[in-house]
Amino acid sequence: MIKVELFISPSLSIEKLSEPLSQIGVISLSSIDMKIFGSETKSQTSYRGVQRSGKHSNRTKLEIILPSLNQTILFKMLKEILGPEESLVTPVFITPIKPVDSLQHVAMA
Amino acid sequence: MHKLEIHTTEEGLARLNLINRSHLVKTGYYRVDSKILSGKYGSSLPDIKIEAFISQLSVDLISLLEADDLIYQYNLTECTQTYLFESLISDAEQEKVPPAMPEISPKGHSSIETAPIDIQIKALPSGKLKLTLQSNNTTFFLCKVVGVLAQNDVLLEKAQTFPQSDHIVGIFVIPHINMEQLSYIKDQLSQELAATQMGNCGYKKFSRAAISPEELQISLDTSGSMASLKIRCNHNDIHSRFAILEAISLYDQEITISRLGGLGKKIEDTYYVKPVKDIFITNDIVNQITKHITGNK
Repeated sequence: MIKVELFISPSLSIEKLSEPLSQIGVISLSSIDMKIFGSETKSQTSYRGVQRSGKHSNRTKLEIILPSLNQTILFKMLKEILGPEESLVTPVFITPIKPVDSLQHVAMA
Repeated sequence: MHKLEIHTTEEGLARLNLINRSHLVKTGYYRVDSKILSGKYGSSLPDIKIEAFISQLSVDLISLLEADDLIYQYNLTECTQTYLFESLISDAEQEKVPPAMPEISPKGHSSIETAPIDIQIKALPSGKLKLTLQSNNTTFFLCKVVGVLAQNDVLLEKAQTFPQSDHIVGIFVIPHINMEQLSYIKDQLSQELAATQMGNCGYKKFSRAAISPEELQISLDTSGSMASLKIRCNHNDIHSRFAILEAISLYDQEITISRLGGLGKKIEDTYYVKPVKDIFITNDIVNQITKHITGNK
């Protein structure tokens, strides 16, 4: 089992993702709006004709939990949804996780 | 690659100055409404949660997280990074992702033949010494270091250990000692950390510190991704901590992440434990550890 985390544009609807991802064995899909900061992520806004550089950019972080064997098909699907340009610059973070049987966990404790 | 999750405030975020730190791959934050029902932080705090993906952990960042009062909690998890355009991963490459356990897996007793270590010593403005140790031999790392210090009658004041890549890093604050003694301790640490077994320095004699059952409280928390032991002990002499750590190691539980603190005669430590031989820690084992430390059969 793995947890895949990636940051996508907030304009992308999670509903657009949930249907196809549910068909490839994704166990859980969650999203959270985050402010991303760093030297490469400053946002440009225009206020009354004046360009301003923001300290943050807004992104949506997706957390996807799925069996590790389905990683390749997930990546292929995300690449199709996000498009080639976005795929080039989107880092993906993968964390191996270990599911715990809650009943067994309680019994052990 | 590590994922660092920090629970702090706006002020804490500004103090961390993450924006100017190297090795940050991705960093972001969001607001959380937290209600902590007990503890020193009160309730209903307008906090933020930071999530940072870092290619290389630095000792000074971890020290900062430990020292800052506005860092309510932080958590480190090992992960890997890739890009979607590299998505056509072959099956063989996929198998490179470890099947389970987010942090470094405990090493077996005889799995490591050599263990190069790095020891750095820095004098603090307070006159105390800060020892920073790195070793690729995680086996009973904390227990061995504390044992060597106890063997040399050095009282450990504060410490923390954490995994970094395939190494374990430990930061230990001790009172000032002379150069001759320091050199001797360095040699002993090098020898002890290179060993795959416990107890080459003859510190077994400390295994029964005079800790009474009333002075010791060990609580087990299994709610997180790793089980943790919270130790409260009202008896802090040179050998107390080693007695506690040795008892935990005897039950084949290894510590990679730890925070050691306390004031005066009190020990307040947190150890994140992992089984060496697939025997996960339970309250029964905790009771046996407590009895072993206090000699209360």
